[in-house]
Amino acid sequence: MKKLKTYMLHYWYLYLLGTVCMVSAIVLDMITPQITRRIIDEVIVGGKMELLMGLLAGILAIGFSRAILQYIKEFTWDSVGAKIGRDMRIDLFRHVQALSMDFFDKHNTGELMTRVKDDVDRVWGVVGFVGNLSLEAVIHTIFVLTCMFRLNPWLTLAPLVVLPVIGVLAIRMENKLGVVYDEISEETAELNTVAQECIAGVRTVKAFARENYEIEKFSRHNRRFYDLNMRQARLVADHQPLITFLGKLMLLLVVIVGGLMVIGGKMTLGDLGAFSEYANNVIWPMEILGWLSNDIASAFASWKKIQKVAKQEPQIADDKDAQPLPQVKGEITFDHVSLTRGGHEILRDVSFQIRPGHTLGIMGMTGAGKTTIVNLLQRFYDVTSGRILLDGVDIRTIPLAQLRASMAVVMQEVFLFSDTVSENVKTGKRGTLSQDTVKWAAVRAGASPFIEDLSNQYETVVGERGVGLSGGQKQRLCIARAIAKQAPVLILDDATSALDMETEKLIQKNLREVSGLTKIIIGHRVSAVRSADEILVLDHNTIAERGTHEELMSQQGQYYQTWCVQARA
Amino acid sequence: MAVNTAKQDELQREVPKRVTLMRLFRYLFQYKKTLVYVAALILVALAATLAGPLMIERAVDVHVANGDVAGLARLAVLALAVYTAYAVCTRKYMVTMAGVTNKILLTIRGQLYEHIQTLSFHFFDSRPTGKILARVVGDVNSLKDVLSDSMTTLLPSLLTLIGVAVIMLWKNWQLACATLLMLPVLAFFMFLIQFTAHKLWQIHRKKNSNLNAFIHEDFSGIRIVQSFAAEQEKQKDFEQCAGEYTSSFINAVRVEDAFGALVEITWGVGGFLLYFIGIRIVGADKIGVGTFMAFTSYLGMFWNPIRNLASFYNKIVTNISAAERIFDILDTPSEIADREGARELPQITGKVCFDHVNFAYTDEPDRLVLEDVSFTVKPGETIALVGPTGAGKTTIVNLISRFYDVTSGRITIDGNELHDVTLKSLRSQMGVMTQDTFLFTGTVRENICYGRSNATEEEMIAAAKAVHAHDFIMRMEKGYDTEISERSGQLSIGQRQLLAFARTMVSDPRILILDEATSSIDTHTERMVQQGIEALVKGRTSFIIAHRLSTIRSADRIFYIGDKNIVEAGSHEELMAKKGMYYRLYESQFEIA
Repeated sequence: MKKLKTYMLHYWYLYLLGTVCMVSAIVLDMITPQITRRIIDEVIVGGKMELLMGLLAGILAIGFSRAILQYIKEFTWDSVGAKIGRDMRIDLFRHVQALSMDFFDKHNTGELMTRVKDDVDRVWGVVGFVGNLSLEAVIHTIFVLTCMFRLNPWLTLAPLVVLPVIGVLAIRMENKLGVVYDEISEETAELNTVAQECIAGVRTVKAFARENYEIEKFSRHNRRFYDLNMRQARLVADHQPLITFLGKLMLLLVVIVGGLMVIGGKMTLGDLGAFSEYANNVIWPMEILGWLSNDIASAFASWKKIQKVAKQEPQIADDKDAQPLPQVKGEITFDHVSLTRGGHEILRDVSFQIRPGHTLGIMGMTGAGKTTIVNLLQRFYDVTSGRILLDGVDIRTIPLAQLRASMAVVMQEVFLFSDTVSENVKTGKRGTLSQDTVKWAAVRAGASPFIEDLSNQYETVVGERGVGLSGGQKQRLCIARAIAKQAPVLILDDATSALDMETEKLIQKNLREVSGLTKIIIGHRVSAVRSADEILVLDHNTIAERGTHEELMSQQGQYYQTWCVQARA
Repeated sequence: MAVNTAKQDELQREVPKRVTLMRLFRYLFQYKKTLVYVAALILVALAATLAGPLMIERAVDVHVANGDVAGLARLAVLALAVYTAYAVCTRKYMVTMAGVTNKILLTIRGQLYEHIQTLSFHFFDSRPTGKILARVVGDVNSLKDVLSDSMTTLLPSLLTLIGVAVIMLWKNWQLACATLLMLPVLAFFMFLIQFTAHKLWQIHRKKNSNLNAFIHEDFSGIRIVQSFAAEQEKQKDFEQCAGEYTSSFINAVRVEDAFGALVEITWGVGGFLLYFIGIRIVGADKIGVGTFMAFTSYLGMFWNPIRNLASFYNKIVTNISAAERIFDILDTPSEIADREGARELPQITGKVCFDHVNFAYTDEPDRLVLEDVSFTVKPGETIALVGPTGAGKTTIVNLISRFYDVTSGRITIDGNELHDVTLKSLRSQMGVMTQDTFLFTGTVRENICYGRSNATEEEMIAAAKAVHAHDFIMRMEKGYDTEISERSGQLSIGQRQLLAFARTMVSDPRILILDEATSSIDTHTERMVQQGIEALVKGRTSFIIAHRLSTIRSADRIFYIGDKNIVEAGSHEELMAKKGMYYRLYESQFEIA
């Protein structure tokens, strides 16, 4: 993320245009009273009828010019805000997307949504129309004060005394509002999370008939949201009328002091009239400033939050001297790899080697660390000790993009984007993958029969969570997606759990036929891993048994027992 | 299935704006008394505002001109009192009105959320979570200004407008007419602008919803995005979404900003007409300088409320689509809802009957998913459902929990037709474990006790032990009080399934449905869980969908589901002897193991 200033400077010409139009409009606004004064003084009182049409043309001309200027000004400021908002949002999104899994583990989706969406929107407002109004208020005030000063410098002291008080009030309000807005933004994220979870987990909620409980939970947050909004309203109500009151007081002060000066003969009555008119004119910018500080405060709170995310560095990034491998053959080595996270040991001293084109099978208890091996290999996390090599090179010195491009993973968790079947299969290779390859992959994954049964075949949109498809169908799409990636390393992390035996067998056969592929297969069924060149059995975060199917069978350990259970079935 | 992607705009029923607006304001009318109070306060504040200039005028014209210091002082005190009254009243009505507005938002948001809870799966299946979210939080918030300004802007502006018009007509009807001549023209253009802008704002709000949905989905699936190195692609899609969001905004303000210009033009033309008609047609001598000056200032006073009204109008135009979208959801009927006069389902024994059941999804009525399915399950019986993926196993169990309604035929439990009993009494006697295990943010304890929050510590631990989750829970940092988060890396998928399993155990259901519930648990743990299942299944009617035949063998009866119906039914031994589909399935598994 760049600095806010940088984003704004990029559109300096629009700001310039908007400001020039604004100043011109204000100047024209100041001229109008002069014209009406001349109409009254010279035409009506002085009887110079020949001047009338010219002066009236002046009024019309000013009206139209102001209309044009006003339009350009407003539109320019509005669009410059929107454009900066877009630029910031795009940068922020790119930044967040590149952050490591660590970050996503700690921040949930609802919160991140608020940053990229609502918070950016608020900042956009301030660099756009709110900025426009603030600037206009300031320029207007300066113009009016100058006119006042030229009329009577001493009397100008009155607004000069009151204005700072108003300013202090406005700043105080802004500060206090800042605190409330921080909390409101916090609570918005909270509200988002509660609602999001409930909607995403609607099946669970309904299955347990817990709708009322969820509604109550939401009500609590809704209520708190209400309280915070009321606090905000009260803060504004405490300051805003007071600011207006002070403005009116200033006018009164001008009239009284000025009146005394007139009575004392130090000023003419006409000048006092003009002066009070000007004083009248300086009140609205003050009032509006109070309102604007409200928006500015909330934008500041948002900007701080955005900054917090923007300052996050990806824990895992390319090494300075990361060198791409000329070609990935697919040799994988774990060399005494351990991982500790948050004081908890997750993997201890795991070593193995897979030669290109060979297959490694991994079995083990739930939570033994099987998926962690996959996560480490993709560098979602970095090892605590030991090293992982791809083609003999430490993966920390290979560019992330190449590393991840060289392996295709079917994760345990089934996740499909709400897009067409084709687009889902093409994930990551949209530009380069042909429709034929999509079909080829679908056939391999045993997905083509049901895809062809869908209403629009490959162009059928599958919903956010792949809705409309059964668990097994979704899983097959995920497998197709991995096959289509055509990477030298294929990793199946318990990828066939939702499939029936026949489909699973078919897919396994298909995969065996793809030669030259290095494979890691994690599974619970002996059938899934038995043909692997080496099988690891993980237990309590480390390797308990290893060997080929035959070797493990003769060891008569955990693997053998698992086989017995499954074979007995 | 008609599903809506993140990139597409949502379809929406067209409802006249007036209807939507009236419906929105009906929420306001519930606070009639408070509104009257607010109106009174506004009137006082308005009167104080209008009195201000008069007092200043008098101070200058009378007291200062006459050198009356005492009079000036008296007036100053009076003015101070009036200003104070203004400040006090304004403060009061701002707070009161904010109270009303926020309370309405509270109500609407609550109603919306509550209603969404009652909607059927079909609603959730057909649109991304992010889009539903946008309505609950974002759309509701955008009603705030419309509601509060309806009193604080609409009322004083209208009153000022009427007051000024009356004074003008009273002072000089000809000049007044000249000045007011512009009003219809202004109204016409205002209408034109609002008409165009409304359409554009509606587009903008849809783009807003698309953007939300996209962000939500991308961050939810970040693992896939990163693993498939799809960052660039997603970035491109995002840039398109963000770009459309921005350009739709720019398109809308391009039209809307014409409002300001319009007011300026009418101001110019109005001034022109005032002096032209006043001097050329009526004659300056008949009017007098003072009146002209007064009219000039009235002209100024006239456009300000119009400007305010226009911007209020604008706000309505901008935000009415938010209201439309909210009401659109509130009007979506709950397809699966309690029938009028639905009874509580009494404590059941668990006899389940399917009687010639047909089922098709509502949006594809011609495509039967189940065709003429009939069976009876005795209380306490364990039924295993097997068959190829997508044959309809999950559909059958979804119908039992009434997640969908049958298209024809009937389903009864203990002789009660599902339609006749309340959903809550039905579902609270069922335990459903699905393929996707969803855990909520909160402690392990809260998750396990989700179905029955009054479960005792012993019951909870017993359940966790039964599914062999106790050990790993105790190994976690704070045991049962460990917080689980959405994506937390602390639990493996298998462990999540075990927690979900314990959750079902605790809820102590009469009918148990296990839909691929143990798919991600290793064989060792599964075997232990199996003992838990056996204990759980005892005395309860159970439906088990599993691909692993080890789970299935011990069932009382096995239904082989293929081609929309039950193809084979019987015990393991019977089906094996039959040498049909089940036999082949069994053999194939044994072959590879």
